[in-house]
Amino acid sequence: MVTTAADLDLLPHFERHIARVVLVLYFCGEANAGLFDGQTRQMDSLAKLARCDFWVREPGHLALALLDTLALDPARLQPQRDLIRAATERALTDGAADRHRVILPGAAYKPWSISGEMNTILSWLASRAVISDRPSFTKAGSHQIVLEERGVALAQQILEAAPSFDWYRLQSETVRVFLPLLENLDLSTMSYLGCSPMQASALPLVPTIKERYERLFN
Amino acid sequence: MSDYSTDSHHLGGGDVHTHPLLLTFERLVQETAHQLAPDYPHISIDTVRDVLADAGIDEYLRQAIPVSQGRLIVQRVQVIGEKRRTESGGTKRFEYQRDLGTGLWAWVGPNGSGKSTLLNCIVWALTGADSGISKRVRGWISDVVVWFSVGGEKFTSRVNRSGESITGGVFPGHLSLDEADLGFALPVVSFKSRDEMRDALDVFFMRQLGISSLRWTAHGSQKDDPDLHAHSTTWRTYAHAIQIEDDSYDDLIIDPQKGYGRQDRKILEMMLGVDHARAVAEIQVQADFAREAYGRARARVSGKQSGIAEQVLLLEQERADLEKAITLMQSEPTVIEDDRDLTAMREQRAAILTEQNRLAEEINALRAQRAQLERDVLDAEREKIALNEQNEVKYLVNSLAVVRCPHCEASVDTPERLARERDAHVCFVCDQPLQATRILGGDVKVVLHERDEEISALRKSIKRSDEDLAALEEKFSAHQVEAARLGKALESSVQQARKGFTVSYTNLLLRKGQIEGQIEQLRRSQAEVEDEQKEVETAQLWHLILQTAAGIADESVYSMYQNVYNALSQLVVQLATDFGLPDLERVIIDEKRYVRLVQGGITIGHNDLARSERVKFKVAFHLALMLIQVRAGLGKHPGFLIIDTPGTAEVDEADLVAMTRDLVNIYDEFGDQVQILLATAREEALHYLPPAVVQRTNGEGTFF
Repeated sequence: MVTTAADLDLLPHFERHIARVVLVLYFCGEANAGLFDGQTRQMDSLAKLARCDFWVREPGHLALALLDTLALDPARLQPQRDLIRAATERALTDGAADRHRVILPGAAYKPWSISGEMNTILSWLASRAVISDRPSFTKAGSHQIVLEERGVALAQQILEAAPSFDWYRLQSETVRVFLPLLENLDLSTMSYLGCSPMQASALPLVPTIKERYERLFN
Repeated sequence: MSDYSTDSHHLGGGDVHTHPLLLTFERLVQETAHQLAPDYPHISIDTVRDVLADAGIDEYLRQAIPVSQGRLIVQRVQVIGEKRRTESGGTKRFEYQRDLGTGLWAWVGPNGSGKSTLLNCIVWALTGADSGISKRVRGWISDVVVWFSVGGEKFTSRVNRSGESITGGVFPGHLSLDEADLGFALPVVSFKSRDEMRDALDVFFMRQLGISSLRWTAHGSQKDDPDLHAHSTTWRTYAHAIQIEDDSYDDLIIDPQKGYGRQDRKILEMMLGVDHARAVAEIQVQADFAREAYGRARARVSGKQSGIAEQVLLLEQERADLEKAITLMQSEPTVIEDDRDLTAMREQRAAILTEQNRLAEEINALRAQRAQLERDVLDAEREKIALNEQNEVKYLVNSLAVVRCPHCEASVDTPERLARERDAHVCFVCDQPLQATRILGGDVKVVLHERDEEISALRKSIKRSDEDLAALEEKFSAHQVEAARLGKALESSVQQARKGFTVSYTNLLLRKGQIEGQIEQLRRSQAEVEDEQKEVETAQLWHLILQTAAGIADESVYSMYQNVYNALSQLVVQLATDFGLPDLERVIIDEKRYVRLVQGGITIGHNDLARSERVKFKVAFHLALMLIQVRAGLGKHPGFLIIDTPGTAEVDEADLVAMTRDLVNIYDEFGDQVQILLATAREEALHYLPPAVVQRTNGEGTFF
């Protein structure tokens, strides 16, 4: 029996979301190599996974957040300056920041939150034994999301079979590098935008990214 | 007996008239100019001369001093009236008469016997002043007749009182009451009221005794009267000074509190016969008025000039600003002559603005449309990306075998369960549907192609929108320029009045005219202030010159008469000591004519004496004044003195005896030249007084 994503009848192109989340877990999760589990990736909490996924599917936000952080403390981020520049340039290429934006319908107002869609995705992945949810006994109330060996294999298959998903690889790697910085940002206000999150959701972000990029790098 | 003989040489009277510093107009001019020169070099001697001449000082100095006709001697006093007795309610007619002459005459009687009334009746008939007679007694008296002589010429003063009406006159010769009333002689002066009586007697006696009226100044006593007033000393004032009575002991000559001001020193000078007393007094009066005028002029001008100058400056600044604005408006190339042009321009501008608004709306709509197109493009592109991604991973993802129900997460990998679910397409546990792998509708490539076409169309639309937008923006910009030009033209036109000038322009011109008017008015005011300033300077000049001249004249007169003052002082010391004033070493009449006493090594004033000592000193002082005139022929003392009731509080028995003794001595020596009328209640005075000069009360204890 094969059950498809359409079982849940929630998201169009559900599979691409499945694939993206798998990649996010693959690149942003902690790599483990256990005797019993084999090669796995684990994410400390659902919230962390949701935030990582947010940065990956909102390349405009990621670019602006990195540029803003660099502008605020250029000395501290000097070693990562080139990485930020490269990430920003990628976001600007062909208007990728706006074109590659993945808007989840249930996350319109809180794009970073644990939306119903994310739960569905995770539930679907769990039914396929791609991930497992392990309650944490050291962090009360939190869940550890583990990309199981089957999920790791799936991620590698996606990267091989779907070149379009290389975008997510790059995005996820960037998020992984700057995760400590990004975790400090308050996503309820999104102050790095320079406008309200509502305005930002309706406007193209490329012009703003371009303007900040010009200011910082030229 | 003391020796009061002093000849004129000793007194220096002869020296006075040949004094080397005799005050003349020219000397006054020169000394005034000299004194002013160090501080006011711009005041020339000619200016000083002109000011003093304009003030009439030369006239005063040149005027002949009236000559005294001689001393005043009362020869008879007759008082007729009707006494009202309160106890019985009835009346009793009385007629008192006593013949007098030169020498000492005394009335001795108890308090209330009428002796003071008799003396005051004489004063009334000679001066018109009846304030010394009590109101109660005043009502009793109907007629007073006083025979007197001045320098041997005989006169009769007759006064009739009927209710409040007073009539009478001064007649030549000695007339009885009937003779006077029957018109035996024409009166020298006559009067029909109290005021007329005073004025008539003032004129008569001042002429007869050679007394000049000395003017002096004082501010009005009324709060609402700030003006300086000139007053004159008259015969009535002098007469008051030669009547020594119990309420005047405190003042050596006259009570300044009773409205006599600075007259005491003038009376002193007049009694001493100071020639230039009148001229000096007049200079001082002129100087006082000049000071007053100067003060007022200065107060009037003060602060005015600077205020006006500031106002003029501000207005000139405003005028300059207005002129700039007017020039700017005049340089405008378009001058609207007709309202129709303005209307057309307004309509044209309104049309352009309307079109501009329409264009703006179009532009906004186009921009919104373009933004929507861009969003549509983005959505299409995102859709393309999603399709691509979906296409790339759909099989991979869907190939994953279900090991747990996605709903209840129960394991579904047992063969039995798999079989059931394959048949029923529902979860064995939760009964939720488990659909087979779906088949995507349509070929992805076709869908992607459709999206590409859609994007291409959208981009074309965006391009068209951009072209439309550019055209509209260009049109809008042109309209904006035109609207701005018309707006400016209209604004400029609105600022120009009809027939070439706008209301604003007219207002500017109007304001400019107002300012020029104000400036003109202020300048006139400034000119007036400058004129007033000149008046201030003139007033200051007059004040300086007259005040200086007054000081010089006063000092000059003082130095001329210093010998006389010294002689008077010596005589006062002699008499006062005889009257019992202890330790009196010296009397000083200083340059201000203040009389100082040196008693026990201490310099004091008359008021510093004990009350008992004041009466002694005052009597001594006035006797000395009278004797100086008698002995040296100096001064214009009428040789007539009234000494009324020195009481026990003022003079003790021994001193009163000593005083009467000296009065008798004076009577013995000068009895034919002076007249002293003395009233006393004290019997001890009789110790020295000759019985012939003493009148005592009748059997009823009264004199009438």
